[in-house]
Amino acid sequence: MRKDHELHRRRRSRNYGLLAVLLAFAALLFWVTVAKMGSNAGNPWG
Amino acid sequence: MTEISPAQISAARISEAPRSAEPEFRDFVLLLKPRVMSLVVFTALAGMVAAPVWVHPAVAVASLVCIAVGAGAAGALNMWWDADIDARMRRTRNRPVPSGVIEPGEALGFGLGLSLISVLMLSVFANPLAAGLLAFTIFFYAVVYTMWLKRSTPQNIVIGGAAGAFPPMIAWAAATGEVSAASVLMFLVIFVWTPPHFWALALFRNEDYARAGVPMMPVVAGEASTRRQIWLYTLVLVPVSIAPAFTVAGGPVYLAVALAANLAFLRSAWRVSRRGQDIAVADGYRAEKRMFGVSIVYLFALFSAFIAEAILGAVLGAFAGGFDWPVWF
Repeated sequence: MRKDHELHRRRRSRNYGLLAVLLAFAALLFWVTVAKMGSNAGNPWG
Repeated sequence: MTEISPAQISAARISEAPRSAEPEFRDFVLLLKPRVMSLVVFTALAGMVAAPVWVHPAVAVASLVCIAVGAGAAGALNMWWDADIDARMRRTRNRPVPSGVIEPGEALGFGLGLSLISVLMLSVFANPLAAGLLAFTIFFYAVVYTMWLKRSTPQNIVIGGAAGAFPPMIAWAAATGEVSAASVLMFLVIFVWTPPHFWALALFRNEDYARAGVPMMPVVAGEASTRRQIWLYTLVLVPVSIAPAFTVAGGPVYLAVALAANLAFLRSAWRVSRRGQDIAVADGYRAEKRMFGVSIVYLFALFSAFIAEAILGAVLGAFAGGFDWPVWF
């Protein structure tokens, strides 16, 4: 099996880190949107 | 012929040096000064919790994230501008820019991008006042303190300390939509605390600052004058830190903690102010190092007391109908 170069390891750490930040940001936006829409958010009959 | 300063030579060396290694995710986190960020998050959390209004947890968390990212962005801009100074100080020479892991341009772009995002998102999540205060804080730290005051006056830390004092006020504004006496006093506590805290550090890191050419108080005015000023600022800090006890954010818990914390701070500042340089050198700056530690615990205790007071107020309000406490400010 081919061993990863140090460069690839560092780039992978950056990419996964960025992915985690973007997912967390999307989750935060969703949470705030639900909160700002009020307690009836997500209730189609509300 | 114009002379080239060591700072310019060092800056040129940093910008021309080949990248020493591909940056990791961790290096970009370090660019945000995570230790400063943790203090910002903590004091902002206290400002948010102490505000006398209910804030939805989503809005509170989002606002705190924006304040933390804004503070981090200011830290990245500071590291971009100060790379030449950082390279000459033992404490800072391994930072991502002077060590060559992150290029100066990357740090600048990262700082500017995050500044813009954090301010815009805070205005969406909370309100324009909080966003405006955050924008002013970033500008104050990156431009007024870093680019102007830090290299030009020994009062750098006195005026520049305002940048670190804004987070609880921003959080309070995010929660209430206004600036009030309680949030101004929270600001003043950190503002007046900053000089004695940093000068205690500067006393035992004097060589580092002198080598970097940063006009910190002990480098310019000497140790004796610095010790005297540490004591004077501590005397001013006592009433400033007790006053919030008599605001809507204060109460008996805060008052008790503030009294105890001020006694400890006064004691360590008095010891530092009574010593001469010879004794300090002989015992390895023990009293100064101790005062630096006490000052960190002091601020932590005061802002923990704001949080404790808010929790106590909520519990008593729910079960015992609250209690009477004089509110003067």
